[in-house]
Amino acid sequence: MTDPLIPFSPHDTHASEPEARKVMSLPLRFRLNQEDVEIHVQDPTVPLLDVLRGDLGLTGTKSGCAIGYCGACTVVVDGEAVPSCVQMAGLVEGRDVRTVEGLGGPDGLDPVQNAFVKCSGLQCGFCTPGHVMALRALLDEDPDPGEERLRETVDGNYCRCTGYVKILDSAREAVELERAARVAREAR
Amino acid sequence: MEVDPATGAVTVLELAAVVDCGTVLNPPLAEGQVEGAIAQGLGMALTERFDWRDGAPTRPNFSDYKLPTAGVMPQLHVEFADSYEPTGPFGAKGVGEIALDPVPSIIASAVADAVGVRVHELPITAEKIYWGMRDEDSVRTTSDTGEEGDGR
Amino acid sequence: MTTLGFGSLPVDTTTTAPAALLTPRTLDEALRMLAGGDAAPVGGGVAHVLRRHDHLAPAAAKLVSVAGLPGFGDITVHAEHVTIGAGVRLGALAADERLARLWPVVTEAAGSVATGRIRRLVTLGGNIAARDESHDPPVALTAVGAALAVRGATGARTLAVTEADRLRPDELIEHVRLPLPTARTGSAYEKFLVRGVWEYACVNVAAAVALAEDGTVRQLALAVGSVAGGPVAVDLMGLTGVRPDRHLVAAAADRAAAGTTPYSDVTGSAAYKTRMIAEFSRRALISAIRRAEAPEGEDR
Repeated sequence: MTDPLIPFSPHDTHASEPEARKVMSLPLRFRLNQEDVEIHVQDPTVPLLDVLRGDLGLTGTKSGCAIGYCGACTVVVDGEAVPSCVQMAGLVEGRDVRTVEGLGGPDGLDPVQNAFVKCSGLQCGFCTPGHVMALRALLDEDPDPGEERLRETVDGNYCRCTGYVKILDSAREAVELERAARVAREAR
Repeated sequence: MEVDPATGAVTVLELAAVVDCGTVLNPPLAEGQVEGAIAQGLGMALTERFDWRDGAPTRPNFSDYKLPTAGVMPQLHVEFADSYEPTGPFGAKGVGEIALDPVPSIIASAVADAVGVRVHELPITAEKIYWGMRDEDSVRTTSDTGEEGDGR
Repeated sequence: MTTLGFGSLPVDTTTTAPAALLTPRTLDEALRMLAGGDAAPVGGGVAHVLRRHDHLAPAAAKLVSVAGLPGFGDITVHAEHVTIGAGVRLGALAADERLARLWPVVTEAAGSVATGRIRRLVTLGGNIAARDESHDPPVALTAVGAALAVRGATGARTLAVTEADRLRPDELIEHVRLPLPTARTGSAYEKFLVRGVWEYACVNVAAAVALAEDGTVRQLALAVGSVAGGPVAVDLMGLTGVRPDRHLVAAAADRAAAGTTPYSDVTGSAAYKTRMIAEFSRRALISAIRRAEAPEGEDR
């Protein structure tokens, strides 16, 4: 691996200005699936995807094209779905990241995941984490997004197996399952 | 389907498929296979251009080689023929590819029906339809050997 | 666009030191970092990650993150102009209701880029500084006559949107300045996705029209992207002062086709694109004219 870079010299900044933070072979600290993580990154321009899969062993997020087109790498950063293959890891410092491994819990799968199971929304499953995270981010932002927004979200992820029909069915079912879960929570 | 006469661009609105795969063992998965195969067929027909030079593909990336996304999928009607194949397991046959093969030819026939242009080479691009409708000496864009006027 | 390269394999760049990512808190701090000559600005970071993916060395030894600088994420309507901070994400730009009323060509162009996911990452400054003639926002901004407020170690200056290639290594775009539209102004964006799926446009055209009180054309602008040297502001001299009818539209569209040089690529041949430049110039102009003629507050 490469040598660590020359440390940033405090003499380069004006004495009264706050010193710029430098992110490189320093620890990269961010919140991942509701836990604080700290990893060491030599190259801040490495994609977040590589950090998740390589450094953190979270292989649920997939690399389909590595250039931002297919959506298989979709994760949620600060509540928004982003393609992690073009998300610079260094820019994730201090932010909140969610991957598919963070969905669901001891009580079972997330409603979006359950919807895919119920509607046979996957076949080989490679594109599925990307679709699930994109829909998860959408429903977190808008629990009743409407058909057009659902289609627009699904349109952002490739799938080679399903022809998208049952993915759209799963998306609609996810809205219903979310609504039912919310009603059940409020009834308690 | 619709063809925009000003550009030649094709929009497939609705597509019906009746598939004979013998006994349908798992209906949601069988439907899913047919739906997926139709999507692949649409890609083969309309958006996927595979060129090669000296044996290697010239467009090994998704920015140039375009797959269909949810936004271009037509409304689908999928049915299965009532059939039984005695030599197959529980009367079943294969289902994975059969819905893909007819799609490019039905698209080509639909285009011919819509605007009277018969395209003989895949993909059926808007440009081929555009020149065909105008019956002009079009600029031949590429050959199958991948030689083309790439300006970038 | 890519085609297979021949010759030697990409040079293994793992022996090149990776860049350092710096996060200045103020614009002055950022400019000092850029003044060193060994630094480059980072917006959403997409271009830099893609460089790495292509086995290219980093753009500079130091990458300076500027999207979060104070004011860089703001869209502000002033008395006589609008400013859009260079750090504004394309998704936020596309959703801005004030801009959608004032200059729908700009919000439509921003909203037509890639997918929602990409639009959340990409900043306007980064999108312009990439100097890619196919990018959508610069085409729209050219049609409205926008200017780039540029800052460098030696001071501030203004560049036209089409002059982005004159940005120096020590400079960054602070914001984009748009004039306010006069009454009876309409604008529209057309992005022709020839294969029906999202990708770089086959052709992209932006139109802006301002009408006089008597309904004749006072100002007319067409900008064309995805052509050599683009975006190209089409020369429409002599086409003002007349009614905005189909003869005017045809004349302007013909000038757009004649005055631009598209290139053949996977989306189409140059000959086809020239025809499509005319067609989509027509469509953009007709939409812009309709919006200009609509009573205030209606269908803009």
